[in-house]
Amino acid sequence: MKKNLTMIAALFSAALSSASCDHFMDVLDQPFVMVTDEEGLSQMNILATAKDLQTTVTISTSSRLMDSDVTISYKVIVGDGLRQGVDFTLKGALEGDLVFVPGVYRKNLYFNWYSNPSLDTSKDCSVTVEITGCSNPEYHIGELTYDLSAPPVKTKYTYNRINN
Amino acid sequence: MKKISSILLAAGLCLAFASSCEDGPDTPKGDAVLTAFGFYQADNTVAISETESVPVIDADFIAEEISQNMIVRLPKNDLTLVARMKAGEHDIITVDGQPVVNDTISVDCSYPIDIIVTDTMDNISASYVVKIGKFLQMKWEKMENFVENDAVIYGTYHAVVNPKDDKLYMAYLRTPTGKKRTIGVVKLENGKFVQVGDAYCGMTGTTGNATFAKLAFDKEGTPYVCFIDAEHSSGITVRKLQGSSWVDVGTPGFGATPDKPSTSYCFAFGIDPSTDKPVVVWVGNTRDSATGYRRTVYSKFDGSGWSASVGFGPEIDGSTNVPMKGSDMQIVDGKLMFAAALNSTEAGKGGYVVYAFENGAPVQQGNAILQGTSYASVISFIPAEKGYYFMGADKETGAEYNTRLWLNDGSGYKQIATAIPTMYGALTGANNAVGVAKDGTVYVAYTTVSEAYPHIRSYNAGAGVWNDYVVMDTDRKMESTAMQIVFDSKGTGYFIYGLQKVKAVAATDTTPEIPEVPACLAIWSCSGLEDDVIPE
Repeated sequence: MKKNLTMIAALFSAALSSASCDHFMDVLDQPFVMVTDEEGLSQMNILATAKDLQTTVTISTSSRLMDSDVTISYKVIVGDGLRQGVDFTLKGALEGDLVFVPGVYRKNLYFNWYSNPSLDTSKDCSVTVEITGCSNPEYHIGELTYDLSAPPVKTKYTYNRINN
Repeated sequence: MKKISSILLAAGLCLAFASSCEDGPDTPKGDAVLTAFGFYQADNTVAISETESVPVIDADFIAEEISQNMIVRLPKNDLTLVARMKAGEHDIITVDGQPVVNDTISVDCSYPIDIIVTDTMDNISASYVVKIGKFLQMKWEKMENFVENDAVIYGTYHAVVNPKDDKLYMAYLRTPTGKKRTIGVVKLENGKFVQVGDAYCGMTGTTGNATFAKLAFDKEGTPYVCFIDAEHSSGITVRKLQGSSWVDVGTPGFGATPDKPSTSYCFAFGIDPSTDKPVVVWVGNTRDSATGYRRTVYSKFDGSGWSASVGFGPEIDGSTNVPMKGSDMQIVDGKLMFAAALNSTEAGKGGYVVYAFENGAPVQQGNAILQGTSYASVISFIPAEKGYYFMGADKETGAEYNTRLWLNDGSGYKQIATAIPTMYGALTGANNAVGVAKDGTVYVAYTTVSEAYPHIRSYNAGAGVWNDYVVMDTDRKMESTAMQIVFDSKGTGYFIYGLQKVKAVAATDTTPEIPEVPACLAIWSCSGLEDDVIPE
């Protein structure tokens, strides 16, 4: 019996190590939402003189395959030191709903940045994307630690515009 | 048996666990698969009349490979275009939440395009993102304007990279304070222009003006300068650098009779590699009694003197045609070559012809390329990786100019892509508004009727279209439309043009003083590609 259990444990460990993928569905039972950039980070500095720059904020859901749509609500908060249409443009609305149909786990918000050499850094020069709700109450909204070796996932992403 | 069953069950569970990680999120499942995506000319047209439409893109731009994160590059990425796409048999497609109808949908190409493909049988979806990027071009950065504190600079110059030391040299017209118009020659060293030889290239600066300025280098890298010399009967003078002095090559002011060089048509000057000696082609000011037109002539230096000017011209319908304005000379496949524009009052008889010096004389290469009724106002000629490019502007009477770029790689003339937007070139001064970068990409410079400031764009050989253009110095008037692009062997490019003086304006109660800004040569350089809006 002991020998069989050992063999089973060995097989299980081998399977676990061979399944080394970043597939969120296999990690937790708790569905959650996270907001990151393409590097997996939760904030980025954008130089005041950056131009022709396009950035992406990704809203990801981590869950088993759902059998119905999940709607995630978001809000983009613009600091008083920046202006949409001048410092940046956003594809879509500053506030809205993202519908995740079954099989889709990522939605993007795209920003185009423009040069503003007269940036007033005494004001709030940030743009924050924040998740404000989810149609499925199962989903965790907010900071969550699922991997002790990594920073916690967040439902907020911030761009900070800074002088060169 | 029970033990084996337990082991098999455990093994099965482990295998199931391992295999469940083969799929990532959003991996296309079942038939929810995008199979094609692109922008097609046929879907993107604009009506120019009740019966005629023209495409807004110069070619079809199709994603080469369908993947969940794709990049499609266009000449410009700030357009709204109709995209066409296909998916699996039972699939429907939405783009940014909107349904795709008849395989097409309008999209804003200034942002990535989010596509959801849904398999209506299994109610499962997959997402795709198409990022739209521009074809990247060299990034031009402004250098310090070239001015002289004690001389007026004009937009008349000639810039050439010396093949021996790979440095950028410029010969240019300048009027020092209290002097007549003379020639200056400088070279770029460590980011600064330094004088080459004596200040006035051997002119006194007191008895007559210089007109035009051309540079060439012999096999040793010795610079030669050529100009119309009013200090010597307004003939042509060629000097070369000897030590720190500019010394005469043959008699100064040659060619003054019978074909006194026209100051309206710039001459072409080069060093014939077969002799390593200079040759000049110019348009005479005296009208030919037989044709009524000015003659195009050439003269060559034999080591002791200049030959008498000899007329030449292309054969059109058995008779020599009118003279031509020539491009700068270039060495292609070991021969000194240049292109010339033909002027004709007969429809279809104006156009271009290319010459190569063979046995000391210009020999027409192939047939003339006949275009519109009017002559081309700008000619640029530049060696290609194989063969040569030349660029000219031609038109029908009353119409705008069409600027065209031709390539002859040895198999005949082929026009490159469509015509570039209307271009007005200089009738005088340096014209070599075509440059070929180290990677073989062709760059052209031009102005337009409504935007009379420099534009640069490159030709994308892969897509077969002209890339988007960049503009320079939009708030200052050009001295002339003469522009030049030249690359050194390391791939550093230079773009040069003249800017007019900005007159001083006195301050008023409501506006500040505007100080005078002298005329200058604006110089830009490039050594790398522009930033990509899509970080890889």
